[in-house]
Amino acid sequence: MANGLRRSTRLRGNTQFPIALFGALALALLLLGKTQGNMLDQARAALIDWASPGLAAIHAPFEGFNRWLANADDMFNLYQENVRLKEDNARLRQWQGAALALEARVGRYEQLLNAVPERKTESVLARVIGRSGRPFLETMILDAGTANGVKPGEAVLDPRGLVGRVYLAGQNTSWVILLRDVSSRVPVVIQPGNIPAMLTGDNTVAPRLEALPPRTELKPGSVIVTSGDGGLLPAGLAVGTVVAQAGKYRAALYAEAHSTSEVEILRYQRLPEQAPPPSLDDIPDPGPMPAQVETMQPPAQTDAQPVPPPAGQAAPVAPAVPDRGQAGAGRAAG
Amino acid sequence: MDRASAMAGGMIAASIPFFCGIAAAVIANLPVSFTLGFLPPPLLALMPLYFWCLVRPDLMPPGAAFTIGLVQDFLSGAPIGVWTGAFIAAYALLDRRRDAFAGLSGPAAVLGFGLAALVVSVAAYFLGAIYFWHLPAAEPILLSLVLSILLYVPAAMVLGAVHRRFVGPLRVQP
Repeated sequence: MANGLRRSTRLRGNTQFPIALFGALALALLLLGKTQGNMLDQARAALIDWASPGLAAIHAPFEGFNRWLANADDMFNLYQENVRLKEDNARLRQWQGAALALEARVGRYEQLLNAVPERKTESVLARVIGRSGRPFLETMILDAGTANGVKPGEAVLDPRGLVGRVYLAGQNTSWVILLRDVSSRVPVVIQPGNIPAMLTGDNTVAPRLEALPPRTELKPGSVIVTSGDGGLLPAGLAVGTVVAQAGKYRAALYAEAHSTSEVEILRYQRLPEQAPPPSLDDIPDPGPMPAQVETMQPPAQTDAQPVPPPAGQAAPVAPAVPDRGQAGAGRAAG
Repeated sequence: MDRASAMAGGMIAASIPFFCGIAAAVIANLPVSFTLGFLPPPLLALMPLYFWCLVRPDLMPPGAAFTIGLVQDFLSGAPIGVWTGAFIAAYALLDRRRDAFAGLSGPAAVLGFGLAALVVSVAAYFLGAIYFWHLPAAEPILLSLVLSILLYVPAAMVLGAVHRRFVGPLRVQP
């Protein structure tokens, strides 16, 4: 055992000052990291880039073992699982039919309204080459980086839902901050009801739902999706469902960050809000010319009736609006 | 020639505790997990620090503790300074109470390590709370603490073997 091998008090008197010095240096580093964290993060990213081939090799056997471990209990209830999956499949086929019909209907409405189509979001598929759950960082490391167009802030999804966000991108690797990480904050809405909330990680399996409107009561099982507020993440990404624990609301996440091996990085970039180009209708009316004032006096009451519009044409109810395609571009892009 | 080789051996012996700490930090922070990420890694880097701080404090000076903490910070993804400050806090405790800690044996020695690990965990928790400006969940740090105490017995056996096999025979007698 370590103790009792040898005692040495030779340097005790000389260590007080270095201990105090290094303690102060550690606090200074903490403050420096708070203000200049980007510099240190870049160094971390460079290190992981350099180590990524070895990391991928080391990770492979662990990944196999973890996958086996994650599915070990499923081996004992394969029959029940099969029956459940068949039922789910049948139910999802019905939903698929309904979704396709609704999609076609929405498409027709958009065509009628001349709506600006949604921007297509590109994505990058990446493999997980490392993951760790530490007291101050719940992360996974992916084998895609800036060379693949990955940028910090982009959403990372597994086949079930949102996993987290890229917070550090090296050349060939990127670090993902998981939703349950202590520094993760994601604006979400809870359906039904469009209730806004902030999904806040606290290093537990189920992140907290905070910043709810006052006196809000949520129903367990309600669906949580991203709200898109702030423009960092696209709206409508599946996150999880509401659970109530000890009087607080938390999220049971759909994504299985501990066992997923491939993820999708959404290259979503919200365009800056732009005002539509001015048209002639936007030029303010300078008001009636003095010569016209007289002509704009209320006309004398006559028996003349307003002329109805021709059959099949709606009566104008509002002044002419600018071209919708241009006017709506800024909003739709947002 | 003999004198030169003795000096070289002495330098290697002097650096072994430090590099054991660095290696432990690297191993503990490999981004792989046996437990699907449910259990945090133990404080492996603290074990060589604790061991040689009591056995040969001249081979584990405060600068070595600082550097091991820095490596732990850098590799674990924690804010730089959290584990560094926590390791220095534990070092200060060990330095002040070295006789008491070094006199422990058997289960009491494990409790001694447990106390040092508790100091590290509490210091890291509060430094992290200052950095993030809110209290993080204590559960992962507590799990890491328990895991570290459980693993200290086999780790101390390995460290003892390294000390007897390499550090002791190679060191230069003053």
